[in-house]
Amino acid sequence: MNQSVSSAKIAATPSRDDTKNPIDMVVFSGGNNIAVVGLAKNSGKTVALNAIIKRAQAVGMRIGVASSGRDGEKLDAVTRLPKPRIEVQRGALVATAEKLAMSASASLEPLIKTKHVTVLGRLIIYRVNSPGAIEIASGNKASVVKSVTELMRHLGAELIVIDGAAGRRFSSAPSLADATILSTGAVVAPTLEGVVSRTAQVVEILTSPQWSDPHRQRFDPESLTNQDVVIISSGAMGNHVEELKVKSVLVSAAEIIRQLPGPGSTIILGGALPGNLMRDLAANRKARGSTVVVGDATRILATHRDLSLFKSRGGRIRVFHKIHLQAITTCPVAPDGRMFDAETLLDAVAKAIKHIPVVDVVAGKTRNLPGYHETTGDETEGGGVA
Amino acid sequence: MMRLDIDMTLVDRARSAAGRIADGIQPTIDAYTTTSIERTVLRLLGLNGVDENDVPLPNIVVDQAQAAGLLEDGIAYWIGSAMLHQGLSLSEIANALAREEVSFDRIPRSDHDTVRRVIEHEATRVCSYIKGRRLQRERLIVGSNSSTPPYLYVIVATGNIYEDVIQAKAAAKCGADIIAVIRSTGQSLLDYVPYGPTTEGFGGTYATQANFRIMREALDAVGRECGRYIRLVNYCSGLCMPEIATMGALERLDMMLNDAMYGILFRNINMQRTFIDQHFSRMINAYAGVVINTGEDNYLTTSDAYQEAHTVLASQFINEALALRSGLTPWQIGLGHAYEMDPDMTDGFLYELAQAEMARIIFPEAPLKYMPPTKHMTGNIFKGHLMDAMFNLAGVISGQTIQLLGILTEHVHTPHLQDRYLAIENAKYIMNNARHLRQEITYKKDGIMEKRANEVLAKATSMLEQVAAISLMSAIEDGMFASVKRERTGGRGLDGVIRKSEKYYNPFPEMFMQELTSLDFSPVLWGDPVKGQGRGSEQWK
Amino acid sequence: MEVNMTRVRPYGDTLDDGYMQLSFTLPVQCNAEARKAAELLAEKMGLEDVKVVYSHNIADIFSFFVVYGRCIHSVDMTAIEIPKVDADFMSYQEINGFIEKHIARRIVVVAACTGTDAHTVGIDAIINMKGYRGEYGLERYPWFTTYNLGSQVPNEDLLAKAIQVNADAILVSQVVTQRNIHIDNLTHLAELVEAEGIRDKVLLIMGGPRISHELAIELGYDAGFGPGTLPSHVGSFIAQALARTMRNSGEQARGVYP
Repeated sequence: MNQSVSSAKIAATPSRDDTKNPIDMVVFSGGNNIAVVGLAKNSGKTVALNAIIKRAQAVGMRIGVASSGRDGEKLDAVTRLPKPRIEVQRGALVATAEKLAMSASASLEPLIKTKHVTVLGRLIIYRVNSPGAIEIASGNKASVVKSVTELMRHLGAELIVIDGAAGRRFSSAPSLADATILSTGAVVAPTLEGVVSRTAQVVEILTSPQWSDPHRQRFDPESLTNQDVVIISSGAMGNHVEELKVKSVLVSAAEIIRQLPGPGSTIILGGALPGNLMRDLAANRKARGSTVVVGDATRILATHRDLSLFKSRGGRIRVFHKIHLQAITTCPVAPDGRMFDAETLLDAVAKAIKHIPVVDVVAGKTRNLPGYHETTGDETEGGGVA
Repeated sequence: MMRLDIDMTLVDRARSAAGRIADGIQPTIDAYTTTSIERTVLRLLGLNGVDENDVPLPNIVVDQAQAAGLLEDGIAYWIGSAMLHQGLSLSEIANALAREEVSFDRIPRSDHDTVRRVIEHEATRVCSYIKGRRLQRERLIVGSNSSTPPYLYVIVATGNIYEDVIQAKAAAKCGADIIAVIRSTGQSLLDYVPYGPTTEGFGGTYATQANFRIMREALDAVGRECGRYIRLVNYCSGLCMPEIATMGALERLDMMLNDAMYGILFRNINMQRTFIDQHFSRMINAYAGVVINTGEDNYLTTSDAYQEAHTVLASQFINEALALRSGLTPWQIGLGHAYEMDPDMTDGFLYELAQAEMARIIFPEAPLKYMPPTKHMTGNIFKGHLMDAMFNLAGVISGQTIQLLGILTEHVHTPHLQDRYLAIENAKYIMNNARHLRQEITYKKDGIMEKRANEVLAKATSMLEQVAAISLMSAIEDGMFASVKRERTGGRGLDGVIRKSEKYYNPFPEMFMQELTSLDFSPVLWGDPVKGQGRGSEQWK
Repeated sequence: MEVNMTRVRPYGDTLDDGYMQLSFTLPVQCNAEARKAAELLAEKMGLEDVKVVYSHNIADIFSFFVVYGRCIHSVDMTAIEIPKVDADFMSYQEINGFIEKHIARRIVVVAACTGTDAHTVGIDAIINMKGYRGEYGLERYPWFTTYNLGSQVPNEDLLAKAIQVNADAILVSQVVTQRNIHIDNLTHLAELVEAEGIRDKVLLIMGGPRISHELAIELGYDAGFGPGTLPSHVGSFIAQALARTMRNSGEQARGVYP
């Protein structure tokens, strides 16, 4: 895996005054691959995606559009309600499946036939020759999405937007995207408090701080697989590093805990961080105060409750590569017709998550912009979530 | 008048085999305790609440005692020792354990008699509280109009207790007698009881003590408005059986789904754990005057209802035998059965009615619980409504006690408000329209129905005798029930089964059984004894 | 009868009369205003000639209605396209022959009802020996090795088993769909597979009465099977998809317009 996606710089850099709008801040952040992920289906990802596409194309950026799920369809696959379409202008690049390209109202010219065959047919990189709506699905695996974004980059895309699939967040991995936008909304929970607390929980996980231990240098996180588990313990004789080969942490949690010499150890996982490991570590006195390190926050698949349990016993979660969460979008409407007051929701989310800009794209309102600064490393323990 | 001529010698043989089966399990029940029983002891002693991670305090205390290897003596003994040693109350001790300020390692053994005095003081208090709740129910029942059985039982399942209240009240006003709050799917596998009022569940609402209380208050209020006593049901099953029995006893629930084998077969909970837990949970239910509902209908959701009818009857005998050994009176044992035959079957109604009459004759005092068609409901709500009507007709003709109303949208979604209204309307129409049909008809000697009933009885008897010969646990290992094989040491929850030491102490079984076995124990469940409705059985004979 | 497939409407008792029946409840007292409200609502839904044929009070705070009306809308059936699982369905014999020829080893499948779901009927029908509607389950196929983990299996345990036995395909059944819990469960499993870095090595397949192939695609699965699916459908898809993956792993990207 290659960590930094590309260093190609954006040609047109407008004045920094435009950063009053978080969408602009994202577009002009210098990030090249922007992932739009959501807390759930229907949380407003497509609206955010369209805002980014529109803004970037308005200032003449050459954009690329990809989706890690499927997006731009007319009707929702579950609710059968109409969904916002994805609108693109001439010159944009699009990575999508052959069958979906046929239903686009935009005129598309195939540039590259990729080797990837998906359930919707072969993935092809198209250039948009006349504006219109498109439907995109660019592969259901990180490896495929990565490969098509690299192809679009190669073909001259300056800014690539990767739409997330439903509530899946793997596309925000730093190996795929160097900036992330998170969409949340009324669909997430029946009450305002529920929406806010779930959002805050996801943000806390997504913004898990970087592992800044001196040992960091010894590891090449890209070479670690789900079979690698490393345990670092400090004792009277200095640090001890134990490298284990396991079938997977899912299979071998008991063995890993058995290998722990005592409290305060660091456990590096090459694969996922599952909930049962959090519960097992929390229940074991030997694991008090331990630090668990994973590649990036998309590997953390434990629930917030399990993570809290682990943290309450002195546990810490760290990542090799931090996700740069640029903005949160709020959508006050749920598909079942439930609706919150747009500003109340925006304010409540902004109040709970103070360190990240929050925007309601439709209402054109933003919060948390002034004084925004990116915090780093251990300062953000707990994600700064109130 | 004997309605169907059933071979009563077979009934006696079956009942005696079931008795031997239950006796075979008893040594296991007596020799072991479980983490859930010990948590129940703490709850009965008044411990409630959660720590900052929402872990219930009874779990924290029992987990720590188990880790220290102390549960074999009973948590009552060790918590009593801790209270004496630290000079703290039970909840202070629990909170100190949660914060790791106190550890069982540092608690010395206290004198047994001193501990007993401390604990028994608390235990007596809770027993009289629960008895008070039981007497309160009896006053409410005697003071209100009694419906005529079959009692109409409907479910609410919104996931949000406050929404459940709205729906339950509406159902009561439409004529429902019994409201069951369906639990969130998967709660049976939680090894703790969630805490506080809850508004988000999946396919149901979490069983928590706060939710019990909220619904109880709501049903009492609507009952006063309607002049009837509205009964409340929840689920006393899964890994926390006795804990939920306690919560129900404290909050005056009237019925509990409480099957001796359901968790083993359909939730893969360890069989030893389940048998031990069901015994104590039923003791609590008995003492609280709760009617248990057994879950025999489940046998028919996975197997053919015609072919496997005898497994339902066999399980009813076993549930009855185990329930009697926990101190329940016969009119507290709501044995379950179901109307689940394929609607395309010629004479299916005759077979259903034969089996329903058979159950009525074999268990004359039991408040039988009759379950509606579910397996063959398709989403064709119009046909479904007709099937529910046939089920209601079978219920009123055969004199069932608790009629769980079928819902036309079964298989589509959990009941909407109007679905419940339509179900109640359907039942009221048929049960009123055919109210005394039962007294007017007899069945043909050696007819289809009489043959069917005797055939099912014969098969059930031979199955029970086989099970008695090899023991219940071996029979389950062999897959004799619901074609599901379960290992004695398999399934969830075995790690919570602990052999009792010589000094094991739990004050409650003795206190409960003393009253349950006394001749005065006769809870009023179904009507005013002065009007000849005391035990209920007179009403449905 | 000449039906215009571009303008299909409900049939009451003549073609295109548009008659529909519906029933619903309003959370208001049942009176003349409530009946008018029901009528207006039906009109807003696109019905004309609306008749509220029955209304009834429920518990004094709700009212129940049965309504008839003529639907003014129509649908163009020629424009409907439903994504279907991309496979040529083969028979038991054909599938085994296909695997023997193109894959030349047994295909390993791990299946479960995940999360809190306790309904094994669907997964049992596809996997277990006995099968469904007279068709053998995959367990019976000599060229499949299957593991049916049963119900209420945590995603972590399902994936652990798949890793242990080097599964080629993971089958997840979801029956309970209240509050879209199945979407959360299915999402979590897919994320877990990706986080473990093994998404390229395994086919992810979902099934259940409310599952569609469309949903599968949206959540990043390889296939979704709905009601009426037979074991041979799933078997055909797995065999063909696996053969395609094995074939493609050598193939390179080629530009059409270099």
